[in-house]
Amino acid sequence: MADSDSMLAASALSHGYLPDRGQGPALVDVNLDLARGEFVALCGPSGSGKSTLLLALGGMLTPTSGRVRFDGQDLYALSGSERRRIRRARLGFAFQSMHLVPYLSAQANVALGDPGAGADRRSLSRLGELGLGERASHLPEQLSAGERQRVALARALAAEPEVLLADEPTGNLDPESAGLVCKQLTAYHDSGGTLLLVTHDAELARRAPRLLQLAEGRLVAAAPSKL
Amino acid sequence: MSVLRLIFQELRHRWVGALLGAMVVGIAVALVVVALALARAGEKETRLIQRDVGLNVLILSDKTDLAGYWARGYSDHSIPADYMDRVHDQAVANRLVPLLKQRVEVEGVSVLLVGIEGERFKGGQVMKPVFGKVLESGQAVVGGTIARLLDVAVGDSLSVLGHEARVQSCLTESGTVEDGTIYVSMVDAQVWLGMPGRLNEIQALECHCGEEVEDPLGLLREELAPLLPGTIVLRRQDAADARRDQRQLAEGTLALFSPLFVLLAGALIAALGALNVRDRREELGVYGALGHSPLRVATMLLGRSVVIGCTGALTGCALGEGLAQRYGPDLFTRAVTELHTGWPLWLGALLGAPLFALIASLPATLWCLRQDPVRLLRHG
Repeated sequence: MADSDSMLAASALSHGYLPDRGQGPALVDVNLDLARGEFVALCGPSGSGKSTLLLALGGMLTPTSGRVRFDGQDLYALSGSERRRIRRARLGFAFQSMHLVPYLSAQANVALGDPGAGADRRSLSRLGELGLGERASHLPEQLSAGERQRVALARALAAEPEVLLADEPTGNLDPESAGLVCKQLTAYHDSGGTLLLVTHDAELARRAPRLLQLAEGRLVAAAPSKL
Repeated sequence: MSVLRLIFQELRHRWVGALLGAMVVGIAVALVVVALALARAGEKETRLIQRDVGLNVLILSDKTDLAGYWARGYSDHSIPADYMDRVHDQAVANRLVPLLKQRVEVEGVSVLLVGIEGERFKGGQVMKPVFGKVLESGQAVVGGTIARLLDVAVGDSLSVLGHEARVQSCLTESGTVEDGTIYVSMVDAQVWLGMPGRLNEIQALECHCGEEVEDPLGLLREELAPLLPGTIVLRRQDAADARRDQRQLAEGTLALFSPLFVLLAGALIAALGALNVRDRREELGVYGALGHSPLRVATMLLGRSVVIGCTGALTGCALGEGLAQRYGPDLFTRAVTELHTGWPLWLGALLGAPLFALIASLPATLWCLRQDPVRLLRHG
């Protein structure tokens, strides 16, 4: 059971994809606990289950077994609409594949993640912080991969969530853009946000006080970052 | 961002699919509009042609010598004129026209004098009169041959059985018994022939055009005998059957093709809706992942269909009206005014087509709402 300071926790979390096709489980008995305001990096080889773990923690993928607790609430015991409300206002998710809406401008894409009034103004400001102020009116297809990645991060941060789950947020970025993203993530953490980051970027992982390692769906190491 | 703005942004982005959808709805609406306009014009044209053929039910006194009737063209025996007030209570004959006929001499010429009134309708219905003639007392309508023999024209006076009548119109010669007829008002005929309150013939249309009746004459007699005692009912079989067959053909064609067009359009719209949802799986997954409500997502998907349905309805009405106007007059020369579709049909299409498009896209929308956001995202 997570303690009262726990923001996001998984206990005995397992998930299997298509066992009838001979695919092994993506997650096996994962236990982890993120304290409120903690910054944790999650590393591991491709196919080790990092994205699956993130999706399950984000309330988007019902695990085969085990539980996920968000601020003390069993996420998958909640109704669909209650879980949706958490995703809408309290939990930000930056996808590795970005998943931007193709017919909306960068600014409109960011505003989609902000349920509050004045979303247009805030989304413009958020894009400016990520160096995309000049590209706000552009469609995703008119942006580079790196720019799209930053738009996706801006959207995840738009609602100023209590928890941010980011999947390879610097994966497609040049060093300068990666620096901007790192700065944003650090600022988010410094403002009290809880951050779980999947990354292969050693520089970014080094900024996290705690590093988790996932291999073949199992959490194999949990240690302060020494990368 | 408002849902409406999202809908229009998406339509602009995937304009080819939207255009195809609107075209499908438009073509379906146009086909239905054309079919309805042509059916209406066809019915009117048929009615006009059948009016020329004449009424197909005869009601005479049962004392009538039928052989004499067919030889002379009228019955020697009369029936009460108030029989016309009893026809409200039956449903087998319609458009009943009372007649009082007698052969008389007018200025040395043998003439069939016919007293006539406007038609009455079953059940007291109010319909557009087609048969019968409404003449004022002292007026006469003169058949073509009689007009030629008596050398009379419109406005001339005519002495009939010692009474003056002003010629209201002269009919063109048609090669029928009408050429040797003079029509006057029923009241004048009753007074001039010394038969007040009497008729000697009622003509009518039977009302079984749209249905199969095994013994129509038997049914007519069964229904009318209690209302009109002392009468015999005759049916002009060829005219009645031709009229029934024509009506059944027109209604059957419309009944077959209109639902076919609508179903075809529905299937195409449903397929396009499903393809649209398939194309948008990633985007719809994003809305779900970001916590947007299913209602908002459904409104986006169904709203798109409604917009396409409205656009298609307007286009289809205009196209259908244009086609009916362009090609309809080649088919129907006497009922051209019926080819105008009119605002009720436009309103019906504007309400019906979006509703139809919405219903057609429901299955794909419901499928989408039942999916996990992650599942949709993985298909992106």
